[in-house]
Amino acid sequence: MAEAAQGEPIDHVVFREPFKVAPSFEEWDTPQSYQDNAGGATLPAKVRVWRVQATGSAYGGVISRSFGFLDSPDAEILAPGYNTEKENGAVGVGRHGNVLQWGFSAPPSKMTGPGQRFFLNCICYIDRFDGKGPLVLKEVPDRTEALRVARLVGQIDNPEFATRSFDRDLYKAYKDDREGLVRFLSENLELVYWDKAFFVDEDLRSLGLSSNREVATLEKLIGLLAEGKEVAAVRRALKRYTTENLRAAEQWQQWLEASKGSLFFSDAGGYKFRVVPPGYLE
Amino acid sequence: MRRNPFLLPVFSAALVVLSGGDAIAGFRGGPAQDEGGSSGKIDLRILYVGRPGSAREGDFTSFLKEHFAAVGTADLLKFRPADAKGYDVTLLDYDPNDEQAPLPKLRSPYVAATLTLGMLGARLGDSLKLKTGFS
Repeated sequence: MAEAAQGEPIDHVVFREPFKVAPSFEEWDTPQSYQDNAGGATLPAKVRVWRVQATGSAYGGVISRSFGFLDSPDAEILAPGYNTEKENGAVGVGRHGNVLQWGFSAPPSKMTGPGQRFFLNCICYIDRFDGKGPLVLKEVPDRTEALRVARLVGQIDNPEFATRSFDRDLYKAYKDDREGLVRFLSENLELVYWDKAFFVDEDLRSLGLSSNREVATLEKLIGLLAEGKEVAAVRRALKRYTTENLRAAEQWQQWLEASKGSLFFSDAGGYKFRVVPPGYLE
Repeated sequence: MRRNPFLLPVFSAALVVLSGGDAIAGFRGGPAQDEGGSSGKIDLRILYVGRPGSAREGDFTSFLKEHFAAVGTADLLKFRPADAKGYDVTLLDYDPNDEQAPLPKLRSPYVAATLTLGMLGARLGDSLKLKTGFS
């Protein structure tokens, strides 16, 4: 990461309290690494940045990957970091649960005024999360990783790279057709999940369902169970995407009624629906 | 009661510029009274954990002491979570470019308010399976 955060600060208390950060903006060239990632072709030639520190070095710290970062309500991207090696939007300053990662490298004497104010505000902000550990841990890659991996098939000099990354049937179907694999995964991204390899959920496809992370899918599955239809596929899907071990349709109905308003789905946390505990977001 | 971090709070108090003003009263990190009876520092106790005696430690602690009611220090190589008792926020830091710094033993569940810095922070994030890690 370079010495700058990228983009306009989000509308967030960490840019206002207790100090108004008030960054000064510059326009820097859009890195090639951004253009090499999905969506990169549509980026403008310049991106807006603001310096967090000023040591004169090209190295300004470390970033975290943004993929899957926001798929649980216990995590926030506070400031993307301008970088020349990874994706647009990679995380320079972010929070997961009770831990706020300040990716920048310099001590306060080398921070800019806005950088110092932002740093102080981050310290004050993370205090709010004392005792509030993460709701999920980062266990597995998020579904967009399937696309990045697919684009590398045939380019990595390791015969096991593809066979270990994808379900055996999926790999067989597109063994010599990287573009076809990428296209298939793109078209079915909402059905991708990870279970020691990437799969496209054939159970949900056979049931005519288009997403594994919508609450409507749970409603449909439980409805099918109540009607006694496609029971085996439904049970597999409910087991795959929840942490519950229920049996009867009525039990699932009750669980869904009680949980519906608090459910979230996290790829990184294991491709499961989970319930936000009462009071956690207060 | 802690604020909901996912709401956008509306404050009627004036905002502060670093160079001069007092922190917003009513905010948990509001003005503190120091021994001399004057206010102005944020009412939080901060523990900086890094390399004792290093220039970097001095840089951080002198800055933090300007702004927070209390600042303590500890050695990252010996740090245990119990060392942070009595502090509101713990900063975990080391040499920003050192990929070999030993990681403190933070047994799960680790739930104390913590700000991690730089390379150490990303490596800690990976070890704790947090999204703030490298991968």
